[in-house]
Amino acid sequence: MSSAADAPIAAIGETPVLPEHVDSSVISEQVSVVTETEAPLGWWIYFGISLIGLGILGISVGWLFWEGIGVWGNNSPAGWAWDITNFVWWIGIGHAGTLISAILFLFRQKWRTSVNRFAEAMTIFAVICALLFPSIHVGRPWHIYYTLPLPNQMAMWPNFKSPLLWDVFAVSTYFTVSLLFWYVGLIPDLATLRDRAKSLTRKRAYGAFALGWRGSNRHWRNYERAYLILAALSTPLVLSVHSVVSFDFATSVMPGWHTTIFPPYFVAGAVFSGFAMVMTLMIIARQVYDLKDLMTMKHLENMNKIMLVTGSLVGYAYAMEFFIAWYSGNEYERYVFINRATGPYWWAYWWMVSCNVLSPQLFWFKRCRTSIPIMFVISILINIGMWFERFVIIVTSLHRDYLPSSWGYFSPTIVDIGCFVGSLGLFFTAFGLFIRWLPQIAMFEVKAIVPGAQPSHHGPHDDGPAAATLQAKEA
Amino acid sequence: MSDNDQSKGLSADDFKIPESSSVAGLWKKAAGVGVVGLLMAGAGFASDAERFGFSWLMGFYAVLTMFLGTFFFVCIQHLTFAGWSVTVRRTAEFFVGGVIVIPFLFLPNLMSTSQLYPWWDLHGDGKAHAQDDHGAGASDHGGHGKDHGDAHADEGHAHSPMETAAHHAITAKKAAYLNQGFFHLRWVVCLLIWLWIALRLHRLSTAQDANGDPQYTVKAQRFAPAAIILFALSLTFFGFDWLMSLEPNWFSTMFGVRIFASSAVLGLALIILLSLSFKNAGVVKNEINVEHYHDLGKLMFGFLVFWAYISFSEFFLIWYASIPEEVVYYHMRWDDDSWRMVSSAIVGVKFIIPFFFVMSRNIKRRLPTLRMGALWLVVLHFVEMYYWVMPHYYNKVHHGHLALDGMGIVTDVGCFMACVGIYLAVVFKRMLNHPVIPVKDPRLGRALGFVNA
Amino acid sequence: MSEQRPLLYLAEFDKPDDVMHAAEKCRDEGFENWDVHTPYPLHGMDAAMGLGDSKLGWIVLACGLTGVSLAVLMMQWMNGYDYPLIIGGKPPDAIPSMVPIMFELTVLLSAFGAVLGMFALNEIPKHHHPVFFSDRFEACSNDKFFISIEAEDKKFDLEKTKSFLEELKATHVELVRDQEQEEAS
Repeated sequence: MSSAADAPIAAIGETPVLPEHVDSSVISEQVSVVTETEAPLGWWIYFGISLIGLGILGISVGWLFWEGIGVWGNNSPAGWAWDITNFVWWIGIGHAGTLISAILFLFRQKWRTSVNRFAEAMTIFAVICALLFPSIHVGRPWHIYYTLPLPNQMAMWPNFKSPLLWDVFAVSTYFTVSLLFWYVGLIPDLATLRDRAKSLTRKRAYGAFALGWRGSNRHWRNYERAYLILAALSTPLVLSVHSVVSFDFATSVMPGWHTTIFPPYFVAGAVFSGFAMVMTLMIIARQVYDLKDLMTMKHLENMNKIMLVTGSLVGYAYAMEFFIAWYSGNEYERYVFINRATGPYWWAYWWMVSCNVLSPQLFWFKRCRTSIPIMFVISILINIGMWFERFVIIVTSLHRDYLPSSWGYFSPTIVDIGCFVGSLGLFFTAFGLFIRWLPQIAMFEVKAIVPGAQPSHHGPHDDGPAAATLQAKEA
Repeated sequence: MSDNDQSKGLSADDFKIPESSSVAGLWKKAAGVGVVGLLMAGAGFASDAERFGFSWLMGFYAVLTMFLGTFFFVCIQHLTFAGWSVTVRRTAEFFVGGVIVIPFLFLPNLMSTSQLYPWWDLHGDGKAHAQDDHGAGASDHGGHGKDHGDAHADEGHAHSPMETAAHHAITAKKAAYLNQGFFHLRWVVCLLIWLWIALRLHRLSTAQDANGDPQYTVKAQRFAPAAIILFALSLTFFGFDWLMSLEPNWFSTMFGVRIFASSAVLGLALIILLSLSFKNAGVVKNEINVEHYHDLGKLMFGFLVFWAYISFSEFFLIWYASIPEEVVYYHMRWDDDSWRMVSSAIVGVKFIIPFFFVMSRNIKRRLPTLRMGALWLVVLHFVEMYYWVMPHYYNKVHHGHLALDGMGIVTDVGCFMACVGIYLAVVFKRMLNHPVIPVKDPRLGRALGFVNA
Repeated sequence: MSEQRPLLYLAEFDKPDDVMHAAEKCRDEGFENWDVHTPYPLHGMDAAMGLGDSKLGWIVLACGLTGVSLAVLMMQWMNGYDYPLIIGGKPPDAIPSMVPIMFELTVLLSAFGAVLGMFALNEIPKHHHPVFFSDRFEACSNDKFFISIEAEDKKFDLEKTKSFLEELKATHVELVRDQEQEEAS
């Protein structure tokens, strides 16, 4: 695209994505130097805390395996509680990464280039945390292979009508494809690190994974197509994954679970919470590593706008659920929703509504969209609110069974809390390692959108853009 | 030919449709179709007013979704500050400007409400009005179809009084929402919202043609968030009222999203078709080129997949859980042989075939094949409108079985032709007043130099 | 010691416009074994080099169709034929409940097709390439643009190719020879 037409138009409120002094070498330098120099004190503090979290995870999961699921607060009727809440929460967080790298790519949102690597890494670590919970929740993790398409001792195959089995396929596909997408995106940047490396070890380590990338345009051609195809595949994939997660609930006949809007509503919620998590991490990394030139206020503002949009979509879904529960005329449906808002878990419900629907409304105001402290607080509130959303869906529906004699109440135990806090430790540890050793911003993608980075004409220019030649070629 | 630098020099007169152009007379053709349609619909009304009610609702919804889909496109361009789409945005705005005729097309629906909606004459206590508790139909069947599929061979079957009472008892619980006064209030509000948001965005864009004041763009961008929220809510509740409550026991939280998804596909197909006819008539040259069509094609493909995802999820959850009040909707459409054909056609012909067809990059970049794909989706959208509305009619009169007779076809086709023809005539007539691209849009340069990466 | 076999010429450029014009000249000159190296993809370079469309889409389509067929066969055979399971009152071979896994396997295999197909078409991993013999080439992953013309090309000529490249606003032209030797010209 021509840089002239592409320049921001001040009259309609456009501002440049990146500051003027940023060019290719500045980008290489600012991003690579993080991996090449000693980690700052802030990183060590962060990493130390994360490792403590990881330790807590080890102890909690070890204890859980030793004693069994009974050490959790799960009971009858609340057979699912924090475990599945955490699973859905983590999966949701992962979705923002795919959204930024795939959907915003398809929509040509150039500003995504500064945040996509970051968000993709987050996806992978979040999906690892998510996979942890169903695996430890099965109680006998050594039998987890029952979920694979293998016959058991009765020559019986897995039940492919079970949403839980779809989950296995969906989440593992999601993990694999996200990893591929992330790695493909890393290749040219790994080549940059290889070429900058001073020591032979470093050169070999990065070089091995850079696959001998030499920036060849014959390669870029297939590379860009592969990236486009992966983006096009990841977009429906990300929809399908959270839809399948929502099927775990929505295929049942449980009031509060069985509602047709669950698939897109879960997806919107997932993107929402994931963006909040990206924001939280980005604000910290930006401060610690002084990446304000590459992650500008404009990036943060755009992210906040997307949170406002997805928060409103979630609000739409809450409203539809509530309205249709009433409109259905079904007394169980009506009861569940009244009970959510006024029953024993009323506090969780109102946490959810105030964090998820009300707090992002502040982003209607530019002053709030561009204030670091406000957006940091809101991003954390959204993380909390989205965790409560899953808690509300799972526990409030379960704790009131059809039979009042089986009604119960769920309270978490110390092991519940340990597993959750521990999963945060796992996530932040992995993230710390990523920030330390890999380029946290997609250098080659940012370079490509710097003003003047693209040639000011496209091939033959007698008949408009390259379109004409392509058209001619096909005719 | 166009070059980026020339965007400043474009003048509105260069892009107005000349009288000699083949698209200048389109409105007459559309009006002709509309008039013939009106005559046919009138004949249908005279022979069977009840069927006419359903047919007209279907025709009206065909037009409404055309408007909603194109409006969504315009709104989303402002929301995302899009540059690539500026040259085709005006095509969408032409359809949006047609909103002025929608209230008139809507009015005939009001004649049929008591026949369309089984809840219309119900009192809050679940008792029907004296003369008729099933609506006027050839047979004596209630509006619900739990066992119609099995029963249609068995002419004499009627619901037991208890079943009917249970059916009405559920409906009666909704009386606070499904009552005549509130219903009238809601459609008035929805129509006013549509007129307001559509005409405002249309005017902000066309007014800019004169002087290129960037303030118009700023205003449109500021208005778009509010517009899209109003759009989402009005689309949903209007759909609940006029389509979902055709079977008052049935409910689905996804319904509004499905209407939206269907409209979005249709909107993109219409934009492709109309802008292609501008190009073929020579009104625009390289200002709208293969790059724009490729992108529109990608969006159309994307929304087609989204529509399939939404429709499938809705069906799938209801099918899997199989709760009687919910499954009645698909029972009407899948358990009767004739409707199963229509439903399968929508799966196979509206989704699977175009999916593989439009997926290819070459097909999207080759204009005749892209046009074929868009046209295909428009036609199949009309079939989908049939699938949305008409099972509820047949459920009343033929035990749910789709039995087409000559007069029925005349009524259905007539209502379609009347609604679509009149709407398009207004769209095509009004588009002669404006240039077919927003010649002074500040982002025009970006659309002119746009290349698919 | 005799000079090593020449492998390619490497011309260095500072600006995307310059390398783009140069690429068009190389294309018009009729070179075949040549390439442009850039730190990031340049829009329009495919046309400037006269490259056709990438074939990757077809590979992915084939993989995707394999995925969906595999999923249908697997589920129909396991749950519908080999050991029929009736769950939730649905027929053992009901299609709707198979859709999620059909979709997932389609995507999984397509993604493998996209990545491995890209590797195959690009012939990577490949850690040995003559351009790596040049020290200056390290800037290619930072901010410089290069054009390489290989000695295998029919029109390659030690003298003529060099002067051709020098005329193209290259900031630096270098002949890369076999082994780790390199010669700045």
